[in-house]
Amino acid sequence: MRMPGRVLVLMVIGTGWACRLPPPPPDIIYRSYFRLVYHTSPFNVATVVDAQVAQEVWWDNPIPRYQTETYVGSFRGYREPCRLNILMTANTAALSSAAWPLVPDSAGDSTGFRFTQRTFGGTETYTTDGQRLFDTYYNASTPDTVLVFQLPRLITVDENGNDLPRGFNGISFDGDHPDPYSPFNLYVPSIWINTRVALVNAPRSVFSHEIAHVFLREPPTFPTAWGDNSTAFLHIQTLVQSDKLTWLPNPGVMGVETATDTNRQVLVEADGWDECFDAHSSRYVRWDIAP
Amino acid sequence: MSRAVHPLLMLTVALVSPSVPSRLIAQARALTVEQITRILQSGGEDDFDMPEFVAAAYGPRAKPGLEVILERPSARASFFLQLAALTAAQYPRIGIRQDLLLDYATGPRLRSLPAELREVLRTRAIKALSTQPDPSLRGFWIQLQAHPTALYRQFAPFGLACAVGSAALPDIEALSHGVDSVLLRQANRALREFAERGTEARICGRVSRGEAPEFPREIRPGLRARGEQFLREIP
Repeated sequence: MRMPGRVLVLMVIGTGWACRLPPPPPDIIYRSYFRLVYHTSPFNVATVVDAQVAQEVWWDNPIPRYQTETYVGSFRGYREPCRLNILMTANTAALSSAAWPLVPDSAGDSTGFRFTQRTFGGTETYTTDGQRLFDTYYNASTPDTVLVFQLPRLITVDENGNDLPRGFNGISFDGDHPDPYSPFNLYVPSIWINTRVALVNAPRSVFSHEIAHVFLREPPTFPTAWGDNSTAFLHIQTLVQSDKLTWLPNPGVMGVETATDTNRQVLVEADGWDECFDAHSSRYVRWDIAP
Repeated sequence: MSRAVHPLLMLTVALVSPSVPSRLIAQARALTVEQITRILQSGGEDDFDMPEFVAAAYGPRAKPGLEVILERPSARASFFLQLAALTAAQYPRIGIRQDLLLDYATGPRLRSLPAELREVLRTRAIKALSTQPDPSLRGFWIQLQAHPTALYRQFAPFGLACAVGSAALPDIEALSHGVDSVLLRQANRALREFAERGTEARICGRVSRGEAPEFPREIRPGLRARGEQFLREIP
């Protein structure tokens, strides 16, 4: 087939223009490393720290977008996925009851680990047990590897010395200040999973939720939803098996089961992409050039 | 330090005198359930700070709203809010009804919750009772000493000390010579506190028996920044 002369001229110009463009930027891979430290108590349940779900949330799932004009929040399609690689190192540490004894719970089973204590001044601080546990597994040569301690129950010792079982699913310490969620700046970086409570409330998403606390600068940088100071991003991303969000199939409206109007508004207006960008800049995320 | 004026007195004065500034009327008004919910939820799951902020900033004005929250049936959906309300109840200044706390502390109302959550609420309710300098609780603490669960039993020495003060010393000394390691540990701790501080012994949570009814009198500096927005919205 004969090519018309005008097309040929355009092709020559186009080729010349393309030659003057800089090479495309290399693909960057964002990697984050976690190490699981797991108590071998029979009351600990392995599936609560679900790295696969975390990988789906932070790597695979595209970020939904919603219209911002109203509270209704019609679904407007997807952005790119966050593409943040969640890597659980293979050297899981096992804690034995002999070396790390636990406090009996109301059923008389040994489940509780005393990880923080209240002071008479009204603040919360470390316990010797908690600090010893963190120091045992923290490796100064890999300061961006986040330790994930999984214990059946987390206990805070009150100012009078009584054991108070905690009601949260998990807690993270990332060294960011001011961070109203972290009572102190020790155990950094680490995530502590309160297995038996998490099993009831968030059996699959607690780990990916705590990752958000570690990676994201929280208020006032990003709006939060619900009362747990969680970023809207995470709630949008953890739709599946969540108590809080459900998808209504068509016409693509986001349904929120228990959210207040304020929470619904926050969720609808949140742009998860900004939060992904923030996560990529976290000190706990390594940048590598794709091979 | 200025002496707090009783909110009901302020409200009465405000209603009979048209010249009283509206700010005073606002300060005497009870917080709504929605306002309390918003303040408590801003703290995060199982946070200790915002319940303390509620006690320090609003005291008895938070009582009706907190009681409404605690009177609701306990369910998974309300777990974090009721937990925060029970944490606030450890400040007798607010004045949460004792029968309501006893209802949580003795357990039956929590039957509908999974055991894991039930235990957390029940312990927090017992903690709240342990900061009440009320001699009528003596029987409760004596009974609790024999509870089969160490997690609940552990509160008896300090609960007793706070309820009746130094009159509890013979009972606590007896516990310190017993065979129950949990009671023994906590009894010795309470005795040490009495020995070191006498009438100033911090046996009602963070403070002494004398200080407990009005504690906390002011907002800790660390809490002020977190509560500033609420102080502006709800003077």
